[in-house]
Amino acid sequence: MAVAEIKTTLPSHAELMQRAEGLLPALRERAKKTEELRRLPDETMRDLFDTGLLRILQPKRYGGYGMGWAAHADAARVLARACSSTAWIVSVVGAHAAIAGRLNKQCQDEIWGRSQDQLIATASARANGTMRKVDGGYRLTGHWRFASGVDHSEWTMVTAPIEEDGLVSTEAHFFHRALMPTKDIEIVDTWHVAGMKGTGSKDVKAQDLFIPAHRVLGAAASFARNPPGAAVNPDGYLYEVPFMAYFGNSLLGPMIGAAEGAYHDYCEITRVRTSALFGNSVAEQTPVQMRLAETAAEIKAARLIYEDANAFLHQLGLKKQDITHEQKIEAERDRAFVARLCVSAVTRLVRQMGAIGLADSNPVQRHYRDVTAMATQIAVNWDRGMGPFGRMALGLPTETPYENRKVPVAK
Amino acid sequence: MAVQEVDSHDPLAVEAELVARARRLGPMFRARAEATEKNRTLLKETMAALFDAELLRYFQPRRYGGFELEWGAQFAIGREIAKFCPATAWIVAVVGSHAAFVGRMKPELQDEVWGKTPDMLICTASVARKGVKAVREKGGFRVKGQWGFASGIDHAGWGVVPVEVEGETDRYQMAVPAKEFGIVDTWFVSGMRGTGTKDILLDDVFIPEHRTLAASIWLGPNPPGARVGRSYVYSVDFLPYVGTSLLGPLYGTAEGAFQSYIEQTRGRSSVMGGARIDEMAPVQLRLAESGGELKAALMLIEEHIRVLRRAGHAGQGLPGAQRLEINRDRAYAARLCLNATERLVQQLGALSLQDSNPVQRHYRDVAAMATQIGINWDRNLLPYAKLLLGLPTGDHHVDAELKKAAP
Repeated sequence: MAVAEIKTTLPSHAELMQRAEGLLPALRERAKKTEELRRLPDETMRDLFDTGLLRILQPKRYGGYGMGWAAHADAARVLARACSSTAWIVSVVGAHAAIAGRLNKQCQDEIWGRSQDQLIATASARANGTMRKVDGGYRLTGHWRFASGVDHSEWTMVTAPIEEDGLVSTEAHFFHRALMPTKDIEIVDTWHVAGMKGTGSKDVKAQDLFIPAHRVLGAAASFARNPPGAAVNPDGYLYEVPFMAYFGNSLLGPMIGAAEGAYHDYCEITRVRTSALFGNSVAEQTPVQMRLAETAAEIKAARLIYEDANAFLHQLGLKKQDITHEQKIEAERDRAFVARLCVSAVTRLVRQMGAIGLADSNPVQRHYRDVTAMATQIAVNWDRGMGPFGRMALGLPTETPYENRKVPVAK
Repeated sequence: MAVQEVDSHDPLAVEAELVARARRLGPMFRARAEATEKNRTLLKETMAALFDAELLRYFQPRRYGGFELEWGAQFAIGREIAKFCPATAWIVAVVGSHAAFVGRMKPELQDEVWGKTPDMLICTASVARKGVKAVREKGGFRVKGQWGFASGIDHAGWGVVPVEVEGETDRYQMAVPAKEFGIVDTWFVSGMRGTGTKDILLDDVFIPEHRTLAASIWLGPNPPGARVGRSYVYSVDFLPYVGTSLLGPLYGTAEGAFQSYIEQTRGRSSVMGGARIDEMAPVQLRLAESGGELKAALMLIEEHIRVLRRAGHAGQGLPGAQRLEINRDRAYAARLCLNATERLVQQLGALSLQDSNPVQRHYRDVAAMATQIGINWDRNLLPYAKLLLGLPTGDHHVDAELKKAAP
């Protein structure tokens, strides 16, 4: 199939998995370079565009596949066996196409009108930053963190509160999402990190940047039922249903895939490994075997919980239902639990690799750094996932992190 | 609702009906849980209730009034009952599943077991004590010996024991009616007390040929029972299936402990300082961690049941590698259940020591069930790991398969 045809013909889930599989040898080969570049190599981006793996959640109207939950995360799970950073770009950053598909038609025309190969960066962690209302739009100033893939994105979204009289409210409805061309903002290369080096999750800064009104949307409204994009893309539930339940689940695909990659590479290495001191076979050692099997079982448990969550979300979407409070709290518990299973599974392998586990060239070490880096995401944070469930089970209020009070503008 | 009204040809609908019955009877089982422990075997009235609700018929052949349900029915039913009384769940899910074992044996034996009444409990004793002696005689075998761990023996109409016969390599499964065996009460234990898992004694008993079957035929594809029973449970290569039955009691017991822990901890204050325990963040975190572990265990158990059902319907055996993975997952699920329960007990303080505290009983029961060899950690994790590392697994079926597959 020619590239143009691959991009525009709707693929099956299995076909997408095959395309991801097909990229693995190249991704393995580029893994070192990707870490050194601290962003995806251009050729990897081209591969992702050419295989359509960034179109999975892109609206059909704009040449995307407009699929439901969660082929993008499943494809990322496959990719992460070779390169977690590439998987992250497909799953987490790729999912931003669904958020863009919820914006108004003018925004979507701007994003995909010129080229349908688009990566859309978001920087949701706000170091500081506010918007001021002006004629025809807003003036945006601020500094945001963790804009994965921003080097390859033509468009970036950030979130900021509206400033009034030198104060901003922490109330959710004051927060707005703003879309802007990446060329209009400054990329600050802060991405010197221990894991997930290749995601290029750098900082961005905007200085008194004018954002026309149509490119600003209430953050809550953009995730609530029936955002403006629902009428633009009526053929996909992700552009219509409340999105919060879905958001945050995208990173499980890369995490599980990275753990699977670590496990696979560990088996390959250990099958032929002999003790450096005594020359005896490491594989023959009973504790080594026991830990390997425990790791395998943990990864499987993680995968089954992940698949169960995806099937649940897909059904919820098809029926256009809201997630209940109880379901949401349990889902967040499960998400944190999956992350811990992955970390535990991979950590156990690295700890028994001896000093060869320290080598940068050892893929198990890279997977380990990547899994532990991904596990720092707030969406899979242990306390945040576990605490509310425990409180709910015990009949206590689950405690929202948002309080309605005025705080001074951070400078 | 009578099972006939459900649509007796839809096994999943019948399973759901039986689970609903188990749920209705649950409070009664819970009320009897302490008395059952003291009795060290199920109460007569509990057995009567189980027969009455047809909860022991799920793997019984249809021609004797059974339901021939899908593999995993014992998990769903056992799980439900175990939330209320683990010992009762064990009798239903583990001992009740022996109907499938007998359903694979010879049709003449099945007529004897179920011909007069469909309400029949069949105990099995898997561990031979010292001094078993069996010789072939005209028309059968003469057997003497004692076997351990025959759960439910006080209420069983038949018992099945594994026997090594002098001069023969294969072991035999041999069935004996209750009036021909003795019961040796050895069941003084720390957990699962109510299961009455005593020894079975055969004192020079003649066992006719039709009540016996070579173990390899019994476990292999198409044993004699496959000629008359329609479910795949009676015809599949059975080895991968053995080991599912205790997961219902195990998981349900852990789930019951989780629920009971929540009920006790809501609004609980420290006896020392009066501080609210439920408001302590570590308490909340540990509770959620146990919840996550239980979910993971459930996913693994349900997945292996799906795999076995699919293989059963396809009439196919499982590749050895897949069987080792299932064994690993069962052991892992069991450990998750044990971890989840242990974590809760440890934070109940001295409250948890009381015999009357259901969390304590459930914990002792989970720990007792986790000692089962079928879910033993070392035994099930090692062969799987060796397989991954390209070493002989020690499982001769798997090793033979691998040898055959090697170029």
